Amino acid sequence: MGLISDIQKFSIHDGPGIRTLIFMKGCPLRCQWCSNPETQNHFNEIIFIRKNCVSCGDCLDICPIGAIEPKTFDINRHICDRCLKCVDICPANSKIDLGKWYTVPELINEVESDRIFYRNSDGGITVSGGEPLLQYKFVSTFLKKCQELNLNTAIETCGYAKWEHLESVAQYTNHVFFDIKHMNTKIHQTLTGKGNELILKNATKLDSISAITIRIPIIPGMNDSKDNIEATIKFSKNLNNLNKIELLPYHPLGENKYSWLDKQYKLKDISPMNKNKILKLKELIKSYGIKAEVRENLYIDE
Amino acid sequence: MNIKEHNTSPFQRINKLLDKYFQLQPSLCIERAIIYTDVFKNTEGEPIIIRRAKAFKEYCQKKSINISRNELIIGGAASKPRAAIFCPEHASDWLKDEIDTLDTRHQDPYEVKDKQKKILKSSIFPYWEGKTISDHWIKQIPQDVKQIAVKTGIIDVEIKTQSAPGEIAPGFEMIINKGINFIINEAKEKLSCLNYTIPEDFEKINFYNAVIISLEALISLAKRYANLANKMMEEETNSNRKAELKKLSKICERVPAEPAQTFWEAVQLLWFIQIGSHMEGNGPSYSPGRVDQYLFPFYKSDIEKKELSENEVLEIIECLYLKFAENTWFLSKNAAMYFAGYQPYQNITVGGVKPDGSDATNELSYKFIKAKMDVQLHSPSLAVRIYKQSPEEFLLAVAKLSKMGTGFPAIHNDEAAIKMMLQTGATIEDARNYQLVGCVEPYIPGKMSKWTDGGHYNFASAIEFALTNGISLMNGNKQIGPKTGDPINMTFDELKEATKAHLAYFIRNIAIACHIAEKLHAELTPYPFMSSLIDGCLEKGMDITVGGAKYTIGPAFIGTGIADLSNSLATIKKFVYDNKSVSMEQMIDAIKNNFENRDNLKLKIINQSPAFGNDDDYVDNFAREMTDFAFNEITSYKSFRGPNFISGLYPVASHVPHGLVVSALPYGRLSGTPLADGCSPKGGTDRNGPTAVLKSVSKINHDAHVAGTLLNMRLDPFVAKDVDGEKRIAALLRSFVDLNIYHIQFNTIDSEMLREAQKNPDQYKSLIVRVAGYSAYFVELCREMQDDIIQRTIHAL
Repeated sequence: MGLISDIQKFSIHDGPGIRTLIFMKGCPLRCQWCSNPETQNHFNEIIFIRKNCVSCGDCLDICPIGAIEPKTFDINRHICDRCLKCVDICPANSKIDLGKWYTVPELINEVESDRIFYRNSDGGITVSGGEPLLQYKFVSTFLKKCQELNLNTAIETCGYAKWEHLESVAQYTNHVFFDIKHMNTKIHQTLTGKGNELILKNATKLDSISAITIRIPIIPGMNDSKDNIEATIKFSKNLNNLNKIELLPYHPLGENKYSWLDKQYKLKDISPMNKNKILKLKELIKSYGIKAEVRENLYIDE
Repeated sequence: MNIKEHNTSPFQRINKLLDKYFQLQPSLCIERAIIYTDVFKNTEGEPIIIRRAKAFKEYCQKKSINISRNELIIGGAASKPRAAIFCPEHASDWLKDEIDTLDTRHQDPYEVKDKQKKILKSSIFPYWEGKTISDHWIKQIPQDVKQIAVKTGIIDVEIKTQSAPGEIAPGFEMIINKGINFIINEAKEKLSCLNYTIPEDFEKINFYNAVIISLEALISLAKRYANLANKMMEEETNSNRKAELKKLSKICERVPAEPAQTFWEAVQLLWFIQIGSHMEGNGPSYSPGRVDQYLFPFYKSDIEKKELSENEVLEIIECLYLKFAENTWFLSKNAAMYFAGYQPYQNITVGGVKPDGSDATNELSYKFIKAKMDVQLHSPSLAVRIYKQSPEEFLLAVAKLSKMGTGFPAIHNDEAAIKMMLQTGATIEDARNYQLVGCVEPYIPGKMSKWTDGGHYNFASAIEFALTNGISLMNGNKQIGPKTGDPINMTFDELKEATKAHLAYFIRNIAIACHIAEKLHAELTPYPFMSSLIDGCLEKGMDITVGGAKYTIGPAFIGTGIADLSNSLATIKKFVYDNKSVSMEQMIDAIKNNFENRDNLKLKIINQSPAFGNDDDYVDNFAREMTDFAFNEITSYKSFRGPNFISGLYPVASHVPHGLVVSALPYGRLSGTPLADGCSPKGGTDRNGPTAVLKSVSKINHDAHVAGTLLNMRLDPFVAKDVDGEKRIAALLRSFVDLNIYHIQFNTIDSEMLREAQKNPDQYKSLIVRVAGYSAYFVELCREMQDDIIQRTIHAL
């Protein structure tokens, strides 16, 4: 079984064509800019969307251990044991369990429904997250089945996993989107909670068995220096099977999800994404003879 | 409606015409009413078809005519542009009641002068009292039919008693290539073989005489325009305009009497036929159809001979579009809600396959699309036909226009439409040559008479009545439907059967009301001008109203709110029967009380009910079952002209007025609010994006509903952006063809709609913010972030 936080059909920015995007729940990294914080933990997790709450008090009444605060209906995360009773009773889509367990056949059934659209757009399936490799057994079995059924497959990975796990998934994957967040391991450690040695090692190994698209999230003031990007380009240049480098400009759309999870958003005062800077970085990549793309994003300022 | 800022065309002439157009106020024209009334007074006792032909002739000879500066296509159906032609013979009672509020009414007001009111009240209304179709109809339909069919909103059949049936397309290809003198001669020849001593010849003699009078009348109107152009030419000082007027005078001397020789002549001829149709009977959907096909030889020859440049062709098309926008369909206050927006539903169609099955897309197809982008008026409606092998370039052009957010073009799938046409008995060549009339209705050019709108019913009332034992909660708790029993102790299947019993009852009543209306058109308002241009009528000597056309099909009954019914059934099944968390008493109580003080129940239902539009068989199967049921019921009754009735699933605007009379529904919709339109999901309940919508809608058997089906789909701004956005739309369209859905059109969500989404989040729950590697719904973002996105969207599109 795989734990999935969301399945988004008609996805258009993560791989070619029209795709179904599967968000696996659980990630080894804790990137400060993460826009899907609900996918970080590998367990069922209750979010509380306060704007939907109608203060009916049903959750307060049903909680068996008193983990709901009277008046605010906040969840006391220290004592909540995630029995999900408040989720079941909430009429307002305010308390939601963002984790659903799927068997491989169930998930196949889910993605099969859009086959016509994949076919007409050269699209397919992209497994994202969270980190797909955290649930490598499930993902590998699923992608293998997809390929048997003639469905194009892609994964989006942070690269932080045992090589065997990555290998087991990559062998059934048509497109690998591989994130490199910073070339300096110390800074990488600060930004994401882990060093980058394993990630870079995996990228190099992966190169011998699969084509790779390197993705760099561009976070103003954190990893967007010319030096860092140039180092990333140089590293990528050494890969024999490099498709292209994609730049993913920072956007703040994940911010309100942090409040749903009662987590702190650390990037509140980040400076806005500048279009010129992004275009310069794109040109920089191209000057190395590497294909470069900027993913569409409303949050790029002139 | 009266937008001062309009789109700009590359042509100065068109921009000037657009400036002028947007200063016009829709107004009332009573010239035709006066002339028809006079002629009818003087011809009492003569055959009705002759009286109508004589009145048409008098109108052609006496009506006011004018030519505006800059126009390349000339002529109008009314005394001035955007004026509504009042035809008293169909219905005059409503105008008698509404004349003093006509200029202030909420939907589609018209300016009216005191002098006009005086004439109407003194000589028009009194003459027609008791003589109109509407007057006869109300006296002839049975009492129990009247109870449900008149002003209840549950079914609505009145529209065909209020105006000409319209929904027809003369054989433009034949007319343009032969000229109407050819038809006159044919009629004369037929006439020479008939004999007054033979009783069955008598009606035919009248028919042919009426045809000759009507066609000669249109020629005389064209000559009046030729003379006017000539006169203006003499007075004109600008040499360019002088030359244009000279040319126009020559063109109108020639067409429509003789075949067109050039592109310009062909378009002017088309326009004379178009205004002739509107003059004979104020009605909907006179539709020139496949203009890119029958105009192509003229275009090609003019380009080859360097008679016209590519730009001049485009300019003529844009001039034609401006003329279309001058026509209107004049309706009562009630009817204007069903057909809102001064819409005459004049449809032109491009693309698709030719009668021999080969690709029909050509240079003109693209020009008619380009002209729509330049001019962007509410009429004509632009329809495109696509099929499995449509060129990608064509799909991209369609996508580009779709992105502009005007709702055009309406996109139709040849694979489904051709099957529909074959079901009506058409030959395969005729079926492949279908065009659209009105909104989305497939039609065989010049060969068909088909009321595509014989009556409206709503699916939602059926579930309301099943839960109330036939009582209409919004009609003063009157027993309007049959008593199908107390639902409290019913099984789910019994409840479904009760719902079907109500649907069947609605349909039976429409059938009665409709065939009587059909009969009255045959008796009181034959259409000799239109009949002469429809294949079969001339051959048989019979008017379209008595079955003269080669293909007589319909009338059609149009169902609205299938998503509301399906969602209601799915909600009841899930909560009352499957998980038993809500009792039937609670459900009925909530509906009777419009969910007031039952907030938690309402929220629970809204958030947890399966809804049509999410590719979920649990609910989608009800949509298939109920539309199949309606199809079987409708097609079991015979029409006045012989064939069985046909089914359609497109609402025009009727989902709004129908919604007014439907109580709260089990799935959480509140009383009086609009229903879902056509086959579209209920706004805001489709949570899984456009592919899931298409999958759900594909579960309806579109090809059975041969009057047409309709799907409106919202496209969010994150999808349609840039060249990639056009490719995405093209890929969606290919999938739409594969899914055997019949029709789709897109509304692109712009910043204004996003603001609307902030105000009414329930209606926009499905709006997904699409950014790489991220997922969220727009309405779930905090207010500041929403504002921010709106700001950014303004720049992005």
